[in-house]
Amino acid sequence: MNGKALSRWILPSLLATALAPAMGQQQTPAVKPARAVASVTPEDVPAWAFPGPVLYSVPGTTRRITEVVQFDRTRAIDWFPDEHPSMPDAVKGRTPVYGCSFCHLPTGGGRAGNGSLAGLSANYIREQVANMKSGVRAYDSRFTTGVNMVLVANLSADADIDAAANYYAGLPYRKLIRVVEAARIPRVSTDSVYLFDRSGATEPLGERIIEGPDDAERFRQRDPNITYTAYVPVGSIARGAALARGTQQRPACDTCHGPGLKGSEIAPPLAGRYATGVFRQLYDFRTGLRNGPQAELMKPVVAGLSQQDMIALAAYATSLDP
Amino acid sequence: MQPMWRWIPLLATIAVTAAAAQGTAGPSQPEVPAWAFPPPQTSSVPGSAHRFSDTAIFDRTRPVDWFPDDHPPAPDAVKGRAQLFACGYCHSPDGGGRPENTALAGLSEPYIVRLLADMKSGARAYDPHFTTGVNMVLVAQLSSDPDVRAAAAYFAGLTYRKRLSVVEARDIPRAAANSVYFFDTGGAMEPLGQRIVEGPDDAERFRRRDPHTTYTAYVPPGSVARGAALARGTAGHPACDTCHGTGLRGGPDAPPLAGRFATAQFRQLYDFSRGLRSGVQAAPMTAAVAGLSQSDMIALAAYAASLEP
Repeated sequence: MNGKALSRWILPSLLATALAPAMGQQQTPAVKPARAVASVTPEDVPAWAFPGPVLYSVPGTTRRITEVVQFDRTRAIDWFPDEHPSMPDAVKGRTPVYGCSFCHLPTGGGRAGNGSLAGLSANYIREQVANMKSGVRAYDSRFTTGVNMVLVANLSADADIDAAANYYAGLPYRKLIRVVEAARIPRVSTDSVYLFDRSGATEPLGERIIEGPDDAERFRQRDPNITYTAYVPVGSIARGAALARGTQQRPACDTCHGPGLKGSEIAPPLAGRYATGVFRQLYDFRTGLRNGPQAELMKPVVAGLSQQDMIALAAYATSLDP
Repeated sequence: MQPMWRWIPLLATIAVTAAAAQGTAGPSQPEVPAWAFPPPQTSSVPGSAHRFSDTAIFDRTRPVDWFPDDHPPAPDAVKGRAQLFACGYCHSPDGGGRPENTALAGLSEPYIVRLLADMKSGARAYDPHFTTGVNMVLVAQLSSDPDVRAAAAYFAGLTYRKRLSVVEARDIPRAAANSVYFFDTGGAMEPLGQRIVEGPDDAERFRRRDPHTTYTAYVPPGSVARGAALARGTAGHPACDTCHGTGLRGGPDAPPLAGRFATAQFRQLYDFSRGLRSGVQAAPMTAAVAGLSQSDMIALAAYAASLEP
């Protein structure tokens, strides 16, 4: 029996205090206090019979949570509560609706598999969620992330959507992604994003954007401070910059998305946002999955674009500073 | 790697979607860039056709049911419902449970109902550091009486299947605590001492909540025989089977013990000795455990766990 286990026995009340948040029980009624029990000396306590769960953490916080809590979609982990304003209920999560911040994180930075919400306009966020409810904005049925988002939209009250939209619109977007042009990349596996093999094995990139966290374990813990890499084909950024300037048939991107693609009143910011996220939007406009008044503006723009063009545009937009 | 068949309906959907969009989006549809929509990682367990993501596996309100054909349809409280952790999450849909909690299959309905009531009233308490027990008390307090009755009837109707081996050993694979013990498979060993160290034989299947996972309880050498002798009783201690029935398979008012998790049994004996269990039925046990050493309790738990249910 180690000293740590003993101290947990000697100071059970301290632990009880620590336990409730650690187990994600903030919203449950107060537990009745444990009754007084027969006194035991620490030597008598068989700590081996009560093995505790493994706890996880991320750099920069003393919080530690179990794997069960880590995957609780209705009560999203908030590793750094001091780094953002207090979240409305919808963002934190409330049964039975998944919290926005489970996927989009309390910072609004998102996780590459979904969109980053920080710094989008409240109107834009509200409109997208409304479009998901009405079916005007749809997703490929195999894209679980999008399918789940539609479910959440349909379960969310308008007041909750308003509160969440205002919350995320008020947060600054912090770019944590770098775009790297490469012909070969670390071998990847998928987990809604790409996880990079660290053993040195590589694979050809081809005509793809492969985007994922630089630290898979911290990604798994939903650490909002991790960095991402988007591997793009060699020459994509320059080609994207050229395409973004537009042609006679196609307006330049910054016509609507603002100088440096930092966003405008009518169109969201694109600069420094996830490359696969940007690509998926272009593709979804192309296939007609995104509709609605604003989408009609994008449809003619993407009509003649090849996938290679969309990759280049996404690579360029992501390479910019927000 | 996803099995290929899994993509067939998905790709078909995309093809249909793309075809439907032809009219609006122009004649040259791009091919589907599957790379832009990486699927979540999913896993399975031997013998199951299902695949689940970690997010699904850790959803306490909707436990994964790897083998729905292994058991009758479960009531809501067992399957889970928003705002309530499901019984089946920890105790498994088949009631087999896990060493950090307890097997419910084959316990009597009144016994389960009574224990839940005791947890609500505080008559059945847990040391605050024992997260499993603390969570169970929360669930008890959040559960309605009809839910408790439905769950009790469900679990009482299931047959308990023993998936536990009791092994006497002086040295055991090095063990790491994770609510149970995970055994090192690299050959590293540690002395057992006066403990029961119980855990899954396959940590990954355990993690995925595979109800077919088998377990080993390592107990000190001689424990099983010593427990058998203690179980016969003495002048001060009635024999265990007086209440727990022949072969400790359960009596009218006392639960079956045969072949159930050894650490769970030890924890009950220990909790009786500390006065943490004080319901109506606890009085005879509180008397029975008085005077038992921890090594006696280990022996009794080892013996009971070694029996066939």
